Amino acid sequence: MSGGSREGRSEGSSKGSSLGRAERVHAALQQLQARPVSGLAQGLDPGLAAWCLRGALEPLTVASLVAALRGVDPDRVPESVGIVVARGVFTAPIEWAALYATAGCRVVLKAPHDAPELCDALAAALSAQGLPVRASTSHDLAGLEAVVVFGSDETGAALRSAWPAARLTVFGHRVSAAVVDTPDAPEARRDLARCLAQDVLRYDTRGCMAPTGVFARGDVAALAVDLHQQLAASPWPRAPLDPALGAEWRRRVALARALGRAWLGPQHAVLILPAAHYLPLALPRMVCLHPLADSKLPESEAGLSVLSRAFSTVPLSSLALSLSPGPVGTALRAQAYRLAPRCCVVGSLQTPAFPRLHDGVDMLACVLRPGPGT
Amino acid sequence: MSPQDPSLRRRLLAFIGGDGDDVEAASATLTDPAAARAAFNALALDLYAWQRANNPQYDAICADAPVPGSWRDLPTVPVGLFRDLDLTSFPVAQARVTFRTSGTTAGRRGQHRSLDTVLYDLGAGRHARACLGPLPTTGIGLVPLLPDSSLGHMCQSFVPGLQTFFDPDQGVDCDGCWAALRQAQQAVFVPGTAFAFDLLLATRGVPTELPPTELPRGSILMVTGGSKGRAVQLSEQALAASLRRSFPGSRVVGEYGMTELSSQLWASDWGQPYVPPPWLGVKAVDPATGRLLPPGEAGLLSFVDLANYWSVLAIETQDVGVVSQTGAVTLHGRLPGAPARGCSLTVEEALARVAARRA
Repeated sequence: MSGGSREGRSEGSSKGSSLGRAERVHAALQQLQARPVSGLAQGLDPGLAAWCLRGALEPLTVASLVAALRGVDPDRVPESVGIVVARGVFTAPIEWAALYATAGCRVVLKAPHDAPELCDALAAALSAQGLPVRASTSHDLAGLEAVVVFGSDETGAALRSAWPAARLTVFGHRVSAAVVDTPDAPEARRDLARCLAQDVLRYDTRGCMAPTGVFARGDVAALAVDLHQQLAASPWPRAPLDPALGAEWRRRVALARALGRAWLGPQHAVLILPAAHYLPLALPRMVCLHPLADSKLPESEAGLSVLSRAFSTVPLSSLALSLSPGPVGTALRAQAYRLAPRCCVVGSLQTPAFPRLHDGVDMLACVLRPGPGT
Repeated sequence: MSPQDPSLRRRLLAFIGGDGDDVEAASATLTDPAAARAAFNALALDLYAWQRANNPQYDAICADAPVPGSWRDLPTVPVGLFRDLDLTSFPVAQARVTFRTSGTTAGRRGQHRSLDTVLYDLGAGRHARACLGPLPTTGIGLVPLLPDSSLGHMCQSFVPGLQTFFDPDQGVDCDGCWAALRQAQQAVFVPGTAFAFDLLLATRGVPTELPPTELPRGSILMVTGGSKGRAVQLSEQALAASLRRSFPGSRVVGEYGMTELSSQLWASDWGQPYVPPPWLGVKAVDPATGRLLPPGEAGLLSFVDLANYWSVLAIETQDVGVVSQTGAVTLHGRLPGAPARGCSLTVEEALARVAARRA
């Protein structure tokens, strides 16, 4: 593994240099945003893809990029970082590449073999600004000092075995969900439904931050109707359903008809299902509402017990919360913070802050060289 | 309709039982598609109406379905729902027979409950004899003979006293099975899964060094299960060749069935298409949309099984295949799992998590 200096490494220590790179990164991202997004978005409708791309780029300002590097010892910044990109959320590698390029690293994007377009476009935009970023579908990660991997645990294990000298950070499969109190007031309920619909629509519910379920108190049926209306009003058609998901789609709809309720649109579904039937898998534009109720327990205990049961074996990424300030909502919020590495407001599930702890791991610290005494 | 509609049940018994339950009658029905299909269609629609009146969960699933004009329009129940729902056309507490799936993926096992196995036994025996001819009266099995195994139940209904060398906990007793096969004095029925036969052959020794095992004339090897995708299909071809080489003179036939169905399809020569009985409608649907596909196009297999009297007649499986104009089925294996969707879980992984939660 190479740990040698390269031209510009010493620049990383100066705020000005970071600023210069941040400006070039930002310019590259603006260039990326200006080009047609169709062809980059893994089958998403172009309008939806453009909305998702805007959401992904919005937090990547010059100021936020520079701030992300504040206080970082330049000697700990690696010469090179590889990013193994998973198929699914087409914008996922942008913030990581932007961060590491701003830090002064040479960046190699290992693109998914069947969806390399965004990685290619991103690398082209960044390298056009003089930043050392390239994309490849090759599995050859030789010479990279640190590697960040998105994908299955098996992928991570295989890479760890192939490149034992690299500092490897593996982000395995995770899921997200929402926990909400349904407001009594129709206007507030519609607002909540609109925010939930945004979380569902973004990326057609792909990725680890897509809501696999919405655990809800209150008038869940009324919330379902509002959600149904919000999703029906989406201006963007859904990407064609993967044939392998069709059977599971029909199974859930049938289950909801037998045990709960179902509202179906041509390209979406809103289901009410008992929480015992929560499945940690999001289907494209399907919302599974799980009532937070258990008549055998007091209300607060019921909610807590439902949540802890649902997530007892699930690796959580994020929980979106919209809870009332009362004692039950407070207890649920506390429980949510215990369960998930990230909690956020409903509507921002798929647009996380930058920089952040991703699955509890600092985006930059995970690639840094060990510091003195570590 | 009453909880047990005697006239409908009588009609089903007559249709499935055939005229005198003999091979000729069964074969005639099999080769007279027009008459059989018309009778089948009428019975399917009547059974659908009866089940909706008596099976509240199926009725709820069908609540928004348009009135069906033919058996192909009947709303199907995804096979996975047998894990989650009772799906009985009688009060579930009264169930007298429960067949369970192996539950390898999702942990919780699917359950197919009924009040009796009259239609099951009648149809299974009739169609097997129609496709295979007279069955041997003795058997050496590589199948589980547990009370909740539909496969074991079927095999025992063919050959009462079937001796098995398979135990779900211990696996295959290959030595015992080989000894029994070599000592067989009369034609034997040898049912087993592809996996079990593969194990058996592996313990036989190097084929070129051992003479083949000639079973008594009229012996039948029945292979079931094991279609899990293209790679395994290739090994199925190898297994078929190996079985024929190892047991010259014996027939190697294929059976396709599942816990959630009461009827089976047979390939009288394993590797050839599977033939359904006249009381089992087969269609292929688009896996993504569930819409009917024309004959000859590969899709997800759906069945309308009149012998599923006590549960639901219309089932959507997770197996992919091609249905010919005559209804014969060429299996392509299981529906491939959805690819990993970025950093989220796959269907299989999600089900495994649920299984762990329920354990």
